[in-house]
Amino acid sequence: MRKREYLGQLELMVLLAVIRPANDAYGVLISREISGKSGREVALASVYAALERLENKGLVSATLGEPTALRGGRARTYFKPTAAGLKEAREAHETLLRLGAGLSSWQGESA
Amino acid sequence: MSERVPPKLASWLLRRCGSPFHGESLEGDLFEQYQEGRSRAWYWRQVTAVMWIAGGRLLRTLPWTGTARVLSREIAGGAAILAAITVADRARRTHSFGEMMSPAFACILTVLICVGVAGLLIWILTARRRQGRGIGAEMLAFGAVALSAGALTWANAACACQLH
Repeated sequence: MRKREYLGQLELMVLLAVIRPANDAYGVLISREISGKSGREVALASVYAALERLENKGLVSATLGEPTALRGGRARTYFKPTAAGLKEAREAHETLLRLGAGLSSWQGESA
Repeated sequence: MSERVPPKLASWLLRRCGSPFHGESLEGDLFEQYQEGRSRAWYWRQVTAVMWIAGGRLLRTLPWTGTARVLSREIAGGAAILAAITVADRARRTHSFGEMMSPAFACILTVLICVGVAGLLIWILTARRRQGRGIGAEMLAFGAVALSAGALTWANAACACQLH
């Protein structure tokens, strides 16, 4: 079995949230996506910390946008997945699906 | 629409602590959301999270292990040298082991030995594996002086017994 570094739960959620067709993922959108889908609010600092770790692992890349008045003259940093990031996300997703297959047999039963 | 100004202190703290997170992007994100109606409490919570994460990162990057290693080594070395000098001095002033090992002296020696051993243990435990775990020159000197002092004391005590 090959040695690999597994992604944390937040890292995986952030990576999945970054994967958008328009490649327009930035801090606020990623945070909203996670909050909307998980029902839990995530601090932007945690999102950025996870993005930084993903960048260091070569799974996402960042591009600086133009400063806008809406943001008080500050630029957005847009994130998009790299090829390795997409591969990692697919593999993690498939692994979770396989591992979660047993959950269906527990539906309707009280713990 | 007039621009809402985020809490000044929070913004200042954010600029101080949030710089590792893609420069001004995080600050811009918070500003953007604040303009969309987020509360001051929310802004403060976000800034607190930034400070918490940035603080944790700073702590992790500090060379604590190296500092602890150097400090423990110095403390152990100091205690060892002090113990050796104390034993030698006490042995010179007294004529028998029993006389030398007064309760006060035994107490001081025990404390110094405990400090020395604790420092030595910390030094060994914080040592990086690739650097090996050899005994330092100070520890060797301590061992030699302590053994010599002990031998002299015993010899002195033995001589005193023979004379009596």
